[in-house]
Amino acid sequence: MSPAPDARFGAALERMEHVALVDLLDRLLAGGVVLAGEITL
Amino acid sequence: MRIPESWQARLERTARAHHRVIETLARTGPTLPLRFATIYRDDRCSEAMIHARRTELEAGLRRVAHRTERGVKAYLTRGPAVTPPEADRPRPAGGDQRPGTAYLLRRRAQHEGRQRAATRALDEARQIHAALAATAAESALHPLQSPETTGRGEPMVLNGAYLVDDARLRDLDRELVTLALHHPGLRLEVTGPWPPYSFSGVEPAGGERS
Repeated sequence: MSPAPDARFGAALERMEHVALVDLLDRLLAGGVVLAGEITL
Repeated sequence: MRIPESWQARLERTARAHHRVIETLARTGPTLPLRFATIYRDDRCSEAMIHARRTELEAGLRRVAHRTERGVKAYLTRGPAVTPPEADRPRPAGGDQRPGTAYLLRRRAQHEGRQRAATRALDEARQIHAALAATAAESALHPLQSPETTGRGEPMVLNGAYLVDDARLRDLDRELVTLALHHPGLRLEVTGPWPPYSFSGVEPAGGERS
């Protein structure tokens, strides 16, 4: 029997929290659509 | 300058919150993340942006559709690779060689051995990147992370990102196994799947973004 949707989401959330911060920042600070005319910190 | 711990904690909290939203959205369909900490003052401003750049954004969404970002890092492992070749080893102390001289020669040979190992590892890393890039639809290189950042003693020699057609993810996995076997002096580490953070630029510079 597959886990309930809430349990699946909980597992996904736990996995996200274990992403290494340094790998995440590599991507967040260098990637993403860059838009002019608004504020990018 | 040392960043206060409270700032680091806030950065981590914000980065993870951003990632949580993007990854949750990415489960529902093609997603183009905006650059982290891009602020729109209100919904009207964000809607105006989407409207003004609709064509570019739609092209970006088509580019990342049915594709997944994987990260591959390679570390130079310790071991035989850093041992200097026999010919470069200084003669043992004794004879006409004073202990101090022998020590310095040994240190120099060790240093040169490490340099050679690092050069060879970087060359191998380039080969690995080229092989993975050939399987991926697009590839990008992130800056190498320092041992202080990774908390590992092993130096990083590759920090790549690969946007792979979902249909070719198994090919990438097979390629990684082959590469790991062919490069025993390096340790490969795979991260992801990631939302296409490294490939969200709406104007790609050709197929290779690195």
